[in-house]
Amino acid sequence: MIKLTKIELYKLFTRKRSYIGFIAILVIVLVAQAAMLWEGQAMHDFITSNLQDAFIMQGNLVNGYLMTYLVLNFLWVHIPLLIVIVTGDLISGESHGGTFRLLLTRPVSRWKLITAKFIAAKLYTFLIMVFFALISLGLGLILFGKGDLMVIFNSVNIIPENDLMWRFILAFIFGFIGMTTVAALSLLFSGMANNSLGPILSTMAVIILFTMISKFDFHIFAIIKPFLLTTYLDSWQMLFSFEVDIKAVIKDAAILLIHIFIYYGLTLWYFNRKDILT
Amino acid sequence: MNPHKIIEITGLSKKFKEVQAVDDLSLQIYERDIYGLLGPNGSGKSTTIRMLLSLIRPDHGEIMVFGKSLSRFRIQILGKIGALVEKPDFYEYLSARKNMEILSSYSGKKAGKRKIDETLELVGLMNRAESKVKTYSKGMKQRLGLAQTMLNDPELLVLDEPAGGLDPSGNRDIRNLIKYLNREKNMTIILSSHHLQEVELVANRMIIIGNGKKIVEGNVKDLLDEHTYYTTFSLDDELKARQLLEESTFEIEKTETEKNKLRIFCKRQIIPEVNKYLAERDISIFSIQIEQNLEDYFLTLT
Repeated sequence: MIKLTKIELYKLFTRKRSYIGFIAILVIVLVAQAAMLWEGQAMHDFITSNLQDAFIMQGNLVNGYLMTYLVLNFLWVHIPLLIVIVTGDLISGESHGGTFRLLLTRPVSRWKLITAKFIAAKLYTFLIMVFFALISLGLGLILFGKGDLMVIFNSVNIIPENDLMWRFILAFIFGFIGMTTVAALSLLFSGMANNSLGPILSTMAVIILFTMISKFDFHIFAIIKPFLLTTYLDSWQMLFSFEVDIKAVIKDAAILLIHIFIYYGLTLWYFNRKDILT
Repeated sequence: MNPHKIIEITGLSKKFKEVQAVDDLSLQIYERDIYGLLGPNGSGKSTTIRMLLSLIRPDHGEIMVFGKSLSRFRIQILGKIGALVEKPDFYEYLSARKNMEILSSYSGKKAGKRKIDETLELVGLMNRAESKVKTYSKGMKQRLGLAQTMLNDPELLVLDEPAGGLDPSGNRDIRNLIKYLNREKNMTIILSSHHLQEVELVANRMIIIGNGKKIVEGNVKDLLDEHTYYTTFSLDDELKARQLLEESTFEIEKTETEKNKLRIFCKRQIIPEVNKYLAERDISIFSIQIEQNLEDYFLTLT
């Protein structure tokens, strides 16, 4: 399995497409940071104008932590898309390219091949998230410095500077679990398809549709919401409540892990029965 | 002593929606056979080969390879097979050598540099080993496809249209390679094609399938000798030759002439005797061409 995973990683990182995500994250975060550097204070003053009558604002509130908190919202759509561009093609790319005809006539089991691809996708997602964390948090702190974080999540929360780093680390870990779930879904679609574009578009369509359903407060959706992965993708935000309900965060992370195993199992089940016709 | 059976397929069937691609097909392939799998396009050759390589799951039937059930011992069996299914597709962004390394890694034992060099040398690609596959021509990819089949020193080689995309000299090289691997490396070879002559030149046994069903199976020479073909003689006096043949006792069903050409319809085993007969009667013969294509042959069978 290690050997197969190494081959998958080699194939993955010798393709130019695999670096699009890293470049795009760098550009997106840098653009966001440049904009913040330019008119961050003005924007902050505008957003908090209603609060300034009730609170006395002191210190550096436009800081690296606020910057990182803001770019963490890219986990809604932007980062999933950049991950899915690569992971959605991992299986279907081999079907479309015809290389499965060569690989699957070798003495390798289909489940091992798919598992190796899942592991490679996880590692790729991990590297993307580490890069995202380093660029946003690391560069954010260098450019904007430290300070307390003021976030509006259910209510106004002002979290002291010395209580922030662990929250961000956990937020990125949660983000990694969320993005791995998205990658696993894209691999499921990838296992079913014989072209590269289908799984990428299908995954993004599901993410966008489910996000809309998750956010609508209609009773009709209440029954299905607990089963949608998008209901849990933004649970990292709970880490920025003043009092963190860590059990709720762990529960949501566990539900995402269950989603990953379900998608992995379905991919194995489907691919083991799939006729290679391309 | 009967030769050892390498492959035994019994009652194999596969249906894609409404199309019965393979229908109750049975065949046997023996050790060191060069076995031709012949049939027109859409006859079920590729589906049969893909089922034999476990790329497609059969609806019914059993495939035994090396005396073991393919469905139960897939990994063990594939370890002894080298295969090229239709056109070879590689990781185009990698070099030929890197492709070979990756493919051999999937075989359980990674082929060393020497083995890769040896196989690339055998197909004449050694000087382009480090070039990316995307720079290869269709013929070069085909040869690389053949090279990868030999990486794990297989006992059975399955080649689906291996000469596709090759020029006549490349075609001849492939034929020679197949004969060499069969003779020197004791490999059993399955060769799928829709060119009767391609199979006749290398195979000792063959099966012809149509609409997924077996039409005929047996020794190539016996099967071809049993049937009648048009043969064209290029000669100096077609009218005299025709008259001589009409007076002879040869079983010739039809004769036609045009300038310096005599076309006869007969069993091919009498051609050498006809040639000798005419030559002894002062007819100068410049060439003999048997019109033996699969379509005509197929029509005589169905």
